[in-house]
Amino acid sequence: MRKMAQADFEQFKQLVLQDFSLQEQLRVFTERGTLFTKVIEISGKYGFQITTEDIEEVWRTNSRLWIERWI
Amino acid sequence: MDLTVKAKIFRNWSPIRLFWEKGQPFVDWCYLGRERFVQPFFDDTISRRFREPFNTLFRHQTPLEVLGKLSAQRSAIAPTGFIFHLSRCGSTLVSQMLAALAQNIVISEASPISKILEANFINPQITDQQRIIWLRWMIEAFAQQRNIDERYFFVKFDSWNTINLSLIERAFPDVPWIFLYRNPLEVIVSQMRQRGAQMIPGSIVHILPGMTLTDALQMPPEEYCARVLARFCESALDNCQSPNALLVNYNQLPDAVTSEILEHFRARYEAADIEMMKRATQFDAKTPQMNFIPDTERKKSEASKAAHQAAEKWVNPLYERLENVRRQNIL
Repeated sequence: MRKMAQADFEQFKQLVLQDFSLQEQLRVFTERGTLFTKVIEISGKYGFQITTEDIEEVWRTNSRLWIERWI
Repeated sequence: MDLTVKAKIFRNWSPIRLFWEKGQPFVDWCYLGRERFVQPFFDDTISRRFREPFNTLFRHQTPLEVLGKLSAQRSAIAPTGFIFHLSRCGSTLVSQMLAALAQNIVISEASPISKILEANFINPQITDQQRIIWLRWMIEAFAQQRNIDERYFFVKFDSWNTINLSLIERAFPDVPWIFLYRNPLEVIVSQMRQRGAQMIPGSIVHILPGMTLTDALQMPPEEYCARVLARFCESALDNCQSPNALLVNYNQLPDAVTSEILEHFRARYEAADIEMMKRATQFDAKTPQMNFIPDTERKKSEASKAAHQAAEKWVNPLYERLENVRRQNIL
């Protein structure tokens, strides 16, 4: 189930990365909790089932990858 | 994998990280918008971008080949000048002076560049020619105009990239470059106070060819540091007869930036711009909130006997050779 949700986030991410309008809508949030809520809301409209936990996992992974960039 | 690329998707995005998956290079991207690289280092600017939560969550991750596809579709500012350096010798002051002007894009010690130069150590089958092509793509991706005023483009390389000077010259045979250096004892003292990655044995692969990690770890840190600096000096000496080369000593700063260096880079500015660059020298380049205080005498007085011996044995003769070449070129 979790894996499916992660795949949903990946698909939603690809949608966002191709769509300037979606990017504009999501860039305005300066607080990550608010962004997460908006991601769940917008992705839901496209039929994706993404939870806060899924987004937090992506957040943690991406943050770690940046920290480990020299490794 | 489908590598059809729409250039507009990557407009105002920048590569920020190069990583490997199943032996293939990939690029991590971040949306920069109009943000200029004005922080002392590339990573500082990118870290600022991560204050916007969107940039942590939504990042393109593409095969490196996508840079080649983009290169074929979009124009870039040709490199104006490259900055190589010994480390702890004023190179950040130079890049910060350049970054003070809106006309300049200044990329300072970007890890994706180093990762490309080291790619042959990840996969020995990667040829020099392949690295040259990748390096051109990456540099071109950084040289995208994102603000209307931008017309010059400078790259300050990591100090250890100096050992790849020949390859970088082959990739960019028409780009003028400087090698900035300083009295080795002062550099060693600074490195002993807080060591850069290049001075930690094992952190930069093959920085000293033929030396095992065990040998490096058993060596006094001053000696390891001196031998690394010697390697950089040797590479600069090997390449300094190039018409693209200009040797610059720390003690010529900051005046040399607005005179010899700009002239060498063939970069032209208004008098007001030059004044703005000079104002940037009033601050400590790495911590711009602090005023710059020259520290040559303090560093010399702090030098240990081991630092003196290491400098004398490994680097001073090369430093003297660099100085001789520099003086000859002035005459």
